[in-house]
Parts: sequence; structure tokens; C-alpha cells
Amino acid sequence: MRDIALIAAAAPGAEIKDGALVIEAEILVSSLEGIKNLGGFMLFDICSVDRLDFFEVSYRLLDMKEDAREVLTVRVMVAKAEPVVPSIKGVWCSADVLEREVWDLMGISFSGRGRLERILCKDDFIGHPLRKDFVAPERNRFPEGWEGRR
Amino acid sequence: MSETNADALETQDFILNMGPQHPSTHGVYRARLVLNGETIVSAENKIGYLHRGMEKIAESRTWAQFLPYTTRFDYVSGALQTWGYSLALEKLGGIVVPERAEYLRVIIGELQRIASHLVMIASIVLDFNAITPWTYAFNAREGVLDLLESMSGSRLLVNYIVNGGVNKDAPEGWIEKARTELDKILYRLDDFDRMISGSEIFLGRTKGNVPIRGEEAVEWGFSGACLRASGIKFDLRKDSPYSVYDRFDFEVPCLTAGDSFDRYLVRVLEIRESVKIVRQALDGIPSGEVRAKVPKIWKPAAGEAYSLIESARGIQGYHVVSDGNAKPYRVHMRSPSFCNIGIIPLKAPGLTIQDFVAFIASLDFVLGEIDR
Repeated sequence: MRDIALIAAAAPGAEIKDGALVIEAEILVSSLEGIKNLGGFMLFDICSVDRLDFFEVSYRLLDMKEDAREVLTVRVMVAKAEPVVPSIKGVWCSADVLEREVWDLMGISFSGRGRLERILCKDDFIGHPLRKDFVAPERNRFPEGWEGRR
Repeated sequence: MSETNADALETQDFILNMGPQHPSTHGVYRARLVLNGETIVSAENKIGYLHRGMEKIAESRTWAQFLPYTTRFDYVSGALQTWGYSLALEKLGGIVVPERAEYLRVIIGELQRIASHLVMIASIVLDFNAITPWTYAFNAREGVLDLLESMSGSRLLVNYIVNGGVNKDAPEGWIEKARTELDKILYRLDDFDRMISGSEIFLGRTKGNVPIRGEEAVEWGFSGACLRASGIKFDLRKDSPYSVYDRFDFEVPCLTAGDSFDRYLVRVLEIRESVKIVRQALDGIPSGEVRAKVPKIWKPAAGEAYSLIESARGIQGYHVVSDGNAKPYRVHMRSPSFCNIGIIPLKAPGLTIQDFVAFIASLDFVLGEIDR
């Protein structure tokens, strides 16, 4: 694998923690652009975890350079009060559907990419099922005033 | 009455919902197509018809109980799904898998890959209304399914690979049976190849159909055979070997045109490579235990693990998070088909409907793993 310190140098403000890069949400787009300009990285997954106090969003990049095919993880911590992350749809096209999935299931919104649409749940679904405080209605019908969370 | 003038007639775009019940969408996928005559003006993916909330279900099951659910993600190659999930659990708990189990995993995994690719090459010609070749490919697949059945007890949703190894050892005489079956598969595949790969009608429908360049494929997060058809030689089995793949001698087929024909041909070539791997594994399989000792109620330490395997459709990832309980805190699955179909709205405009059918058949997606 390419040295993670070298990759971190391409993304000013990034911090190395447990073999992953941790980046503040404000500088996410410029940092990922810096990493992409190194060449050979593919964004193949975005996954999110509800850590009760905050959300954790992990961007998985695959190093496509010959003889160095490893996964690089870029993490962003998001406050629960205002779960918004800048969109990186303009950096990697593959982010489009992945961001929609995170929005649909975890309720983390992405700014700067237009309206986010649900992708897996139906359009009139209420709530975001993978959040820990999600409550599903009985018989899959939403009564009036249903909020979808505890 | 005014005179009718063809140029003055107003034309209107026509919206066609292709799917969710449509024979060539191979599942409950819907493409919302805006058409001008027979030409597609724009296309939109509509998915989620098979969404069962699997990732949420995982949080209410124990680690081992969720294993059979994973085969329902990609029901065409179930054994590879259980492999990906088991690998994540083994990384999480630091479990060492016995050598014999690793070989059995490779054998079952590659047989499952062969079965999955046979479905793809059979269904792409079926979409062109060629029914006879389909019977040849499914005949070959039947032999593979018989092998999977006698090993695991089920034909499609193979719950054979488990956390710590495999379920049980191969039954007596299975290895000899597998050897003869591999010859039959190749024999059937040769027949199929002769019938289809040089057929003028098939070439006319697929050659030059939606070429995807390598850079474009990387940009859109392509993986698996679709990526290798675009000239990028990337296969996790070779590039970042897991299990015992580093011990086998095999090639990674890679083509350059990136059109529907190459996406088909890569899979035909991959079946031959998989047969090679299975033969080597059958020859070199050591004796010994087939499962490490893992308690029934297993509580891994708090932490997380991310596993990647090369499934029949591409990079299959499992992200598991534990908080020290007997149930997962979070399970996330990276599905290759989910990213592979992202390019459809970009590539569909300008195609006719029959070309569109060829294009989506060549991507070989499975709705079970897209919708989860």
C-alpha cells in the first residue's frame, strides 16, 4: 500500500487514526479532491454507523495502482443535531447512489447536490430505519402524526 | 379544415415503465424510460421493490443467526455471500480457519461462481430469444447444483460456509464426483461457446453495444467482470488474496473493448479459470479439521471489521460493528450490483429498447443484493 502519511499530505487537515484518515466535514470535498488527484483511487462504498452520540460516515477508497491494491478509509464524524455532510458527487460519480442510500437508511443529508431522493424505501416512508431510535409502525402503515422515531 | 402537414404535427415524448415485472430486467428492477419513437431520451433507475431491511434485521439476530439471511442477498451465488460475512466475523474475532476448511471454501465458492456465470450467459442469450443455448448452460449448471446439494443440503441458498470454517466435511466419494462433473461442465460450455460466441446474430446485438471505458468504469465504482471487460485487470483473488487463493495458478481474464460482448466473454473465460482453480484445490486438499471452535453464543469484543471478497458480481464488502454483545451493532453490506447499475442513466440515452435490453443483461445484476 502507498504510505498513508503520503496520502494524508495530499489532504491537508486530515488526521491518521487507527489506520484511517479522519477529516472534518467542512474540508471533506477539498481533501478528497486532493486524494483523487494522486490518481488511481476508486470510491466503492460509503457506510454509516449510528454511534448514539454522533454519526460516523466512512468513505472506502480502493487503491487501483498495480501492486498496491488496498482499501483506504476516510472517516467523518457528524453531529446528531444537524446531520449534514457536503456531497462528493462532483468528485466521484459513484457517490451519487451511495449518498442516496445513506440518506434513505440513516438520515444523513448531503449538501450541494440538489434534492436527495429515497432509493430503497418507498417515497412516502417516514423515518430512517437504520437509526437506533427508529420505530416502525405496525402493519407497515403510517398513522397520522407518525414521526418514525422514539 | 386546415391542411395537415407532417412537419407541423406536434410530437410528444412517451414514458415507458420497463419493469418491475419484465422478463429482461431479471428481477424487480424498473427503468423509467422517456422515449422518442423507439429511441431512449432519458432513463431513470427505480429500485427498492425487494427491500427487506436486512441490515436492520441483523441487529435483532445473533451473529450466527444472521448467516442464512446473507444467502438471500445474492440468491444466484449464495455461498459467496456467506463467505464474505464469515470472513468479516473471523476478522472481528480473530478466528483462525483450519486449512482443510479453506480449501473446501475455495471449491464451493468457485463452483458457485461457475453456477452464477452460467446463469448470466444463459439469460443474456435468452433475452435475444435464443432458447436452445439456455438449455445447454442450465444443463451444465444442474451438475454444479447437484454437487452443491450433496455437499450442503441445498441447491440455491447454500448455507455451507460458516463462521470458523465450513458446516461439515465432504461426503465420501464427493471429490471424485466433482472431478468428473468438471469435465462435463467444460464439455457443455464448449458446446455453448460454439453456438453463441461466434454467432452472427449474437455478435450483431452485442458488439459495440454500450462501450464503457476503463476510467469511466473506475469513476462509477464498477467491479467484477464488468470492470475487467473494460480493460482494468482487477480481481481481489489475485490482487489482494484472501483465504488460500495465493496458492493456485490461474489467470485473470481481461478484455479491452468494454462492450456488452466483452462483458459476456469475460464470464465465459472466467468459468474456465474457475474450473482450473477447483481442480487444483481438489488435488491439493489437506486432511484435518473443517471448523474452528466457536461458541454457540459468540460475543466478540467491541470493535469493527471490514471484509472484501470477489463475488461473482464484483467487490463484495461486509462492514460489521460489535459492541461486545451477542447481536451485531451494525451490519453493512457493499453490493457490487448496486454500484454497477448507477451508470445506466448516463449510458441509456440514444439506445433503442432492444439495445437497452442487451446492455442491462450484460451488466448481470441481481436485485436481491441491490435492494437488500
